[in-house]
Amino acid sequence: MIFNELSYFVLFLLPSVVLFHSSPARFKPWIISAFGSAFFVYYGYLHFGGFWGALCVFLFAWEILTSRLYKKGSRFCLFGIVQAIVILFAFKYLTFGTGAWNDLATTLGLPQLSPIHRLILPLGVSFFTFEFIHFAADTYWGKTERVSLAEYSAFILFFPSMVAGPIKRIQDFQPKLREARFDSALASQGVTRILAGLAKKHVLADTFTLWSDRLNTDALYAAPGWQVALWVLAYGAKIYFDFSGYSDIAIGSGYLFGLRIPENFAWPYGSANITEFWRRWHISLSSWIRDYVYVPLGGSRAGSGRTALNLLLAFGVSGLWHGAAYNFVVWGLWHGALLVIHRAWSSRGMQLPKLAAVALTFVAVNLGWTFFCMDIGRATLALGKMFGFS
Amino acid sequence: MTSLVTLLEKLGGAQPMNARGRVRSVALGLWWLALLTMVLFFSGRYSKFVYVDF
Repeated sequence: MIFNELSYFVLFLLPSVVLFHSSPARFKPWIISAFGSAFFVYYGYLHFGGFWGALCVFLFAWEILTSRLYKKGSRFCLFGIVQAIVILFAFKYLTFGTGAWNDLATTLGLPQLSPIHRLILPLGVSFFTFEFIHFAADTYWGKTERVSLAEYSAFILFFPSMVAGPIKRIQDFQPKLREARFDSALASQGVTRILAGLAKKHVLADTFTLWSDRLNTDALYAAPGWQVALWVLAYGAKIYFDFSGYSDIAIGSGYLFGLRIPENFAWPYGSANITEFWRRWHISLSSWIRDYVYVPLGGSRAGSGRTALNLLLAFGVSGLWHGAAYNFVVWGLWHGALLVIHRAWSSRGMQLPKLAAVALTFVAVNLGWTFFCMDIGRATLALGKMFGFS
Repeated sequence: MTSLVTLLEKLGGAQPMNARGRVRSVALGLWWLALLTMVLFFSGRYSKFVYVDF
């Protein structure tokens, strides 16, 4: 949806690219901002909550205004970080948060909260709030140059990466925006990348979906373990082709503007260990989690026990970010635990032959997908079947 | 292996493809047409991207 709708190309990408390249430099950021706002309103209205979903465009206006107050070491930056977290929590986690509290309250005999039903989820809220936090935090730490209102506006409203990333960094985007020119070779590469991304989605991801979707049907109960394992592998293939295809379209769209936005994938299933996997899978998110969760928690600077805890916390947050449900938290903790094991393993100088290491990493990652694509009950059943326990 | 990866990355637009010259330009155009045909042929089964919040 969106990137595979004709309206994305006809109403937004092509006209904005033409206007962008035919305008003087000082207007270019405003063209991105205008089209980004229209994109948010149009698809917000169409797919993300109707009128109220479209109205969420004022979150960007508010962020642009408050960002003017950000200075190195300023409390306004901390306010900016808190407000982005509040936006994310209010729209994405309130229902899950009250449900989780009530589950806990039932166990401990505490008073329950009234269930809160989510009204809308603004388009791209998981991604744009992370860009808000990045800018506020980096400004607080003095890691940003002076960013004009127009440049910041273009940064957060750059619509090819607004819906699902790649999550950009202002230090990377700002100079590229200033130097953006039409480059026919890059534009041609962009068209190839967009078409290849669409093909990955429609030809490959959607074909693997035919099998992986069986995991969430009654077919799971009757299926033998080997078949469940094949469906889980199909999910692993589907999610790779789906999200890397999506990222290709976003990055290719950026090329048409003459802008190179961050890469998100680098052949992740060829990784020889889980640390390497996270350097090659959803790169823009894993580097964000590293810089704004793992490192501020202390990273690997305070002993192996604290490092293990930080890894588990960072990947727990990453899991929860992927979805407001317990199964995503388990998925995140699974990867955190794998990273802890790998650190312990490699610190003792233990190594597997390359092919065995790649195979082991592939199996571990795909076992994790079990919790990503099903609720905990079904995932436990699926794992039980795969390992012959049920 | 490296050359296969390079070829796939060029075909996927992750690496620049030298399309100067008439023959290469025609080849690139045919590749675009092949991709577009595949997309149109296979489209319409599932539309949602996994990572888009709904």
